[in-house]
Amino acid sequence: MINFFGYLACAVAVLGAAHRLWPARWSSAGARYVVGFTLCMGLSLAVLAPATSALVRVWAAPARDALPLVGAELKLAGEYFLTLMAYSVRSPDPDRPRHRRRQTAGSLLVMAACAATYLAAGVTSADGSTLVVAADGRSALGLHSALFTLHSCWCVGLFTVVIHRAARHVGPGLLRVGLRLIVAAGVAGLVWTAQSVSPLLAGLATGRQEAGEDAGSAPVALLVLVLGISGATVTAWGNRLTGPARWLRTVRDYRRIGPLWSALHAAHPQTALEAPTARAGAVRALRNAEFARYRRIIEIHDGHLALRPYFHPQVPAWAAAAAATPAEGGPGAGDTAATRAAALVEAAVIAAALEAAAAGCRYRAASDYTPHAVRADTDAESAWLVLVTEAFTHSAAVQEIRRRVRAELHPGRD
Amino acid sequence: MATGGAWQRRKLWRRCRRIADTLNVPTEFDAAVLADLVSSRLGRPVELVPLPSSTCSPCGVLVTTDRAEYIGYPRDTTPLHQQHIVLHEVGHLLCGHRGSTVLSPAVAAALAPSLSSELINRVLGRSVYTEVQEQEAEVFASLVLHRAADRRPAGRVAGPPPARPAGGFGPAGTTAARLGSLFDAAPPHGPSESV
Repeated sequence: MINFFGYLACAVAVLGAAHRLWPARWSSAGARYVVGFTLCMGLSLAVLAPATSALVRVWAAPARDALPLVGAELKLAGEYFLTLMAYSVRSPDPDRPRHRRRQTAGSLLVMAACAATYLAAGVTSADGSTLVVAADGRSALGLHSALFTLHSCWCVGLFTVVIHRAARHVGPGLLRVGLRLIVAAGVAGLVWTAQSVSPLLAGLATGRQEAGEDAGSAPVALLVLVLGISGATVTAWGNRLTGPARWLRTVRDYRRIGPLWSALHAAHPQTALEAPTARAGAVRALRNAEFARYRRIIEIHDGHLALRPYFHPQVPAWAAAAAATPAEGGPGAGDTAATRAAALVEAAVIAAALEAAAAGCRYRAASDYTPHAVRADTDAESAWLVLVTEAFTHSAAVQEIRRRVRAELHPGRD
Repeated sequence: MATGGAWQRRKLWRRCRRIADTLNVPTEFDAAVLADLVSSRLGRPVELVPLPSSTCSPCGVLVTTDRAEYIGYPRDTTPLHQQHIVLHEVGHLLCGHRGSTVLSPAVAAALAPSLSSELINRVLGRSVYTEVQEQEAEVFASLVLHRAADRRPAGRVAGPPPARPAGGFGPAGTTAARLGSLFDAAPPHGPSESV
């Protein structure tokens, strides 16, 4: 079971690091620290797994006693990368390079001291995970373990505090979820570190100390890695999970504003960037729905502006009155009712202008119609234009105003 | 597009993407920041002038004088459309397009306080996309604004930048950017190619 946890954690770490090694994400120093930390910690767990010791005993017996030291040094290196990540998150300040240099020097010193005390203790390792020392080596082994534990506490604690503080300044979203997962990983990491105190005391008392993961610490180590990697990558895979739903919504909006775009495009075909064939439009929407929808929004507004000379000066008032009738939802209260009424007015203004443009009738009296205020955002624009399109195609009031304007333009025809 | 084959279309998109890559528009669009950005790039003042829509038929206008660049955009359309129109004219500037030197009386009247006695060197209007120059400027504007929208976190309301928080961190946006680079939140790059 311990082997399983050790190797599984190593596999998770290597896969997580490979994900971050993808060329587009490799450019930032932060990403390199994440990869350094993940690889070092994952490899240390694999090195300290009992099965690795058994393998080394068969193939390279003299190296067996050094395995626990290699595992410990890898963990120390991983913790060092953790502090570099913490420094890269904190605000840039003139002292940051100095702090980083101090940390590098401190971590290198601890790594060297750990190796020296380990060798001075004369450690032997029968199974690769249990350290055995003679009576005169106990204090050196105790110093080795104490240095390791203190370094771990400092690095994990610093990182957890920095990320916790940073998460408080990030708005709701996947990034904040990721940061909270990382803080949870940091807390679990402190628990993992605390679990090494018990073997330390046992080593001082008996000269035998467990260096590898046991049944209690291996699951905690796996939890730390899973939480950490999940937090570090949640923005990427979270977007991939929500991406298809967003794509569907965008394609639906693209189609829903289609009738309004088609009507305006028929009146002013020069406002389209691409030659609008049905097949090309469908392919464009499927391949890049966001961009296709963005273009439709812009082209609808272009058509709207091009129609301004044909805006009937009285249509906004007619449409506002019609919007207040029970048949069109009545004078409802709240933002939604007001927005729907505004959409009906907009649809009526456009429908009437299209009639006037078809008849070549420009109005001398300038229309004082002011378009509804919409947030500068494609989602907000799209939601607004969906309402306008619904009114444009389905509202009886809009059809009535259209007939009225047509009758004005062509007296005696209806 | 209305003119040209698939090869020319791809070439045009490649060129626009290359130029758009060089303009780092902030995620939260700010007209003043954009004007400063383009101004420092060109080494000439760039002024944005809101116009009544009747004067810039139908959408926007770029007037180059011996002193400055004037970008006129319609006052009475939505903010997103205004941003797109301004970027279209910026596209003309960055693509180095040529125009006429004839300014319509309506636009001249609207710009009169700014233009005074300056010598007009170039006039470009955003109207139809049958001209290659207009297609380029339009694709450029679409790419830049679409990319800026893509960089915005999903569900985030576009608005003023967040306030500077208390404590040891910089502005929230800066902290989020540093965290984003660390925790795999790289921005997307918009559409790869027109269809």
